[in-house]
Amino acid sequence: MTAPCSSTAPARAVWAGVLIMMLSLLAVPSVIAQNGITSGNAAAADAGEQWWSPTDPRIGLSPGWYDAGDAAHNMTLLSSQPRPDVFVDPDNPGDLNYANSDIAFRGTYAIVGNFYGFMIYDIATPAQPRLEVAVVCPGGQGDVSIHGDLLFMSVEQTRGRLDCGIVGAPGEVNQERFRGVRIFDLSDLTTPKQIAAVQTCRGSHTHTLLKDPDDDENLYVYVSGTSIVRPGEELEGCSAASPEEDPETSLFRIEVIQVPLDAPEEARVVSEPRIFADPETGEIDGLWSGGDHGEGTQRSRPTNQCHDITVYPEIGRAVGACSGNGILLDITDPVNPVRIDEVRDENFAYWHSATFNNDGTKAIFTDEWGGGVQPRCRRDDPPTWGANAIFTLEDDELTQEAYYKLPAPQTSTENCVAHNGSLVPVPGRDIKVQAWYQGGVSVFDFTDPSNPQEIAFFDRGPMSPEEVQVAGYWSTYWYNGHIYGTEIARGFDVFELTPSEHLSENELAAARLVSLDAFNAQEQPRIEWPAAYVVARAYLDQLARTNGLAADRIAAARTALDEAEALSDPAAERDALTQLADALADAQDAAADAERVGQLVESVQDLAAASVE
Amino acid sequence: MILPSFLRPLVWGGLAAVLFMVLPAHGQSQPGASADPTPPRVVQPGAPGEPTQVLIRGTATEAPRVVQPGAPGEATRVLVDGAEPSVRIVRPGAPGEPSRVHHVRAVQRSGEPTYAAADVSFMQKMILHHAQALQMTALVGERAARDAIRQMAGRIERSQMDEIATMMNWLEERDEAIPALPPDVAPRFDETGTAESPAHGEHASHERHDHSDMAGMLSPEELDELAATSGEAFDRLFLESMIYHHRGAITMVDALFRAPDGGQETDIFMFASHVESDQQVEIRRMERMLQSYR
Repeated sequence: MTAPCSSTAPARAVWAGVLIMMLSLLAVPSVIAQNGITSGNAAAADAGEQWWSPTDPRIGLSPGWYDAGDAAHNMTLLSSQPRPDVFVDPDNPGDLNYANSDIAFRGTYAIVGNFYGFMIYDIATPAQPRLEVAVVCPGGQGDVSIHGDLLFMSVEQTRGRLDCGIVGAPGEVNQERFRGVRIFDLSDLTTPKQIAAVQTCRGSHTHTLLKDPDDDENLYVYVSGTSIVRPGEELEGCSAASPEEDPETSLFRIEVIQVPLDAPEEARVVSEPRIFADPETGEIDGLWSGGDHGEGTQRSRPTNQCHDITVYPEIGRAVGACSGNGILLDITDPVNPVRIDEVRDENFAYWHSATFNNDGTKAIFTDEWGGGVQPRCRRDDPPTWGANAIFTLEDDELTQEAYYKLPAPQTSTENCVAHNGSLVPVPGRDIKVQAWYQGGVSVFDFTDPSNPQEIAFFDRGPMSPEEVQVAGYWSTYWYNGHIYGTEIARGFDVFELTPSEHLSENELAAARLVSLDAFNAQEQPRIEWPAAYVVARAYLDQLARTNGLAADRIAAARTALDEAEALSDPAAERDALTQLADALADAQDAAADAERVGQLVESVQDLAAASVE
Repeated sequence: MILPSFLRPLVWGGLAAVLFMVLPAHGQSQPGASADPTPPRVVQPGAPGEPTQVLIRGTATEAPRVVQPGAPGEATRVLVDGAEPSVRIVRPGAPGEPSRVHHVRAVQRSGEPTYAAADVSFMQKMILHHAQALQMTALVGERAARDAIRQMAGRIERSQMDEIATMMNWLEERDEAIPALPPDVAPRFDETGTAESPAHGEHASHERHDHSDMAGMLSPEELDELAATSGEAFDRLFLESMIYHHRGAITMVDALFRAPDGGQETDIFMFASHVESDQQVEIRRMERMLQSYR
C-alpha cells in the first residue's frame, strides 16, 4: 500500500480500513503518516532479514468471511459462533459499529463486548457456547469487566446515550449523552439492568477493575480515556486545554471511580491522578512529548493518556501502557496510584496494553502500531515494530529484554498488530496467548525473556483479498482450560491447546487445574496450582526438555511418582513422596536447572502434605 | 435494504425505533441453505498444521433474546423474546445465479445515526483545509534554515495527504461531491483519492482561490509572503502559519460536534477525533520549536 487507503479498494472498505481511532484511538494518526507514503524507510533497514519461515502454513490462506482458509498448529478450533444478526451489518462485515471487542468471564459465562453492546454466552460446555442474550447499548468500544453481579462497560463515542438508545446524541452539549463507564446489574443474567453510568471527560476507551485486598467495602475502576474531551458545559470541569493554558486540563490523567459495593449506584469519580507528572518540577506533562527518537526510529505518541492499565493487586503494582510510555505504578493506595518507573522505546508507536508474568518479575507491553486497523505484519514491516516488548521487573525497575512479533507474515489486506492476551497457567513457565487481529492467535513462551518462542497458533486468511476489512482477534484469553477469542467480524471462537514437543500433556493438564471464579484480563490474579501429580510431572517434563536434571534422576522420579500415586494408604503415600522430595532436594545443587528442581521439590512436598489431609 | 410495506415501525420507549425488517443473510449467497432454524457452525479440525474443515458453515444467527437496558435505574426493555420464531425467506437470484436466503429479523437498527449534512460539509472543507497545508509544506524546500523544519513539514505533508485520501474516499463512498483540489495539489492524488508520492522540489504556484473565511486558512497574500521569506525568518513564519492553520482544523472539529447531528456516525466520530488529536500534537510540537527559535 502506498497510502492507508489501498488504491484498489472499494470505498466503503477503504474507509473502514483507514478509520482511525476506533481500536486504539490515537495510535493511528501518527501511523498513518508513517506508513502512508514514505513508510518504508525505517522498515527497509530491517527488511533484509527474513524473519519468517517460507513454509509457514499461515502464508497463502484463502480469503473469506466465514469461509476463509485457516491454519492451526498445536491448538484446535472447537467452535466458532458468528455474531447475532443484531450485531452484524451484512453489507459491510468489517463495520466497526458492530465490532466485537473485549471479554470478561464469570463462572460458566463469557461476556463479549461489542461496539454496539455486549453478549452473554453460556460456556458450561466450552465447545458449544450458547448465546443467552444480546444486549443493545451502543457507544464503543464496549470493553467489559465483571465483579460479582456487576458488569462494567467502556463508552467513548459521542453517540453514546444514557438510556442505551441507538438513535445517537447529537449536538455539542447533550444531556442525554453518555461517555464513561456504565455499570450493569447481572443478577438476572438474561435481563441486565443499568444501575449507574459514571460520566468522564474523555469517555472510557478501556477501564480496569481494582479490588484493594484491604478494602472490602469498595471496588475501584481506573478509567483510560483516549478520545476527544467534551465541553465543560456538558460535564463540569472538562477542559481540552494544554497544561500551560489550564493546569486543570482533562488531559494528562486517568480517572479513578470508587464503587461502594453495597450501593454501586453511587459510584463516582474520586480522584484524577496525574500519573505522568514530573516528580521534580510537578509539571503534569512530565513524560514523552511525542515524536521520533532519532534517525530511523518510530514516532511515539505523546503521553497524555493511558490506553490500558493492568493491575496485579497481590503485588500492589500495575503496569500502564500509556501512549508514549510504559509505566509502573504502586497501587497500594488505589485512589492515589504513584508512578515508580517509566520506560520508552524507539520502536513503539503507541503503548497499548501490558501483562505481568505470574511471579510479577516480568512484564510484556504491546505496541499497537497502526491502531489495529492497518496491516502491520507484512514482510517488509520491521519485526520490532507493532510487536511486544518483554521486560524484566526487578526492584521496581523495568528492563527490556526482547521483542516478540507474530512470526508469520500477513497480507496487506489484513489488519494486524500486537493486541490483547493473557497468561496460560502452566506451572514453571511463562506462556501467553495473544490476539493479533487478522494475524490470528499466537501462543508463545517467554520464560526466558530474552528468547521468546512460539508454541501454537491459529490463523485465518484475510476477509478480502482486495481491501482491508477490519476483522481478526481483538482478545484471546485462557479461562479455566480453554482459550476464548473475540473475532471482530467472525464472532466468538473457542480453542483448546494440544500437546506438542513444546507443551506436554502433563503441563496442559496442570494448566487446566487452575480454576478461577471470574477473570478480567486487566485485573491479573495470582495463579496458584493445587497439589497434584500432574504439577510435579509437568516440572519433570520441563526438566527433561531442557536437560535441567540428569535423565536417570528424571526417570527415577517419574517411577517414584507413579508408585506413590498407586498407593492406597495415605501414610505410605506421604512417606514415599517425602522420600522422593528429599532425594530430589539432594540432587538440586548439582542440577543444571536448580531453580526448577526446587519448584519440583515443593510440588512433591505439597503432594505429600495433601496426601494425608 | 428492503423494507416490506407491511412492516410498520414500532416505537419503543419513545427512543429506539424497532422495526421488523428483512435483511439479506450473511456471507455469500447460499444455494440450498438448510431449513430453519439457521444451523450453528460446525467445524472439524484437521491434523496438526492442517486446515479445519467446515462441515456446516452456519450464518450469523439470530440472538434468542435481545434486550436494551434503560438509563440508570430504569427498566430494561426486551426487544426480542427468545420464544419468537424467525421466518426464512428465499429470494431467487437472476437466471443462473444462486438464491439468497433472507431471515426476518426481529430487531433492526432504524433510527441509527447516519451521516449528516454537517459531516459532509466538514469533510469537504477539511479537504481544502488540508490541501493548503500541502501548499505550505511545498514551500519549505530550500527556504528553511533548519532540518527540523524540513522534517516537521515532511510529517505534516504525509499525514495531511493520507487524511485527504481518506476524506475523498469517505465522500466517494457516499456519493457526495468531492471538492476540486488546487491545481498544484490535485496531481498528487489519483482519481480514487489515493495519495501519490509527495512532490518535492520547486514550489508550485499556489492556487489563488481565497478560502480565508474558513478557519485557519491563509489568504493568497499570506501565502505569497511565506513564499517570499527564507532562512530563519521563514522557519518562524512557517511555524506561526502552520500553528494558525492547524488551530483552524480544531475549530472545524469543534464546529462539527456543535452542529446538529454532526459527528454521530461512528466513522465520522473516529476520524474527527483523530484529526483533532493529531493537530493538537503537532501544534504542541511546533509551539515548542517556535519557542526555541526566539
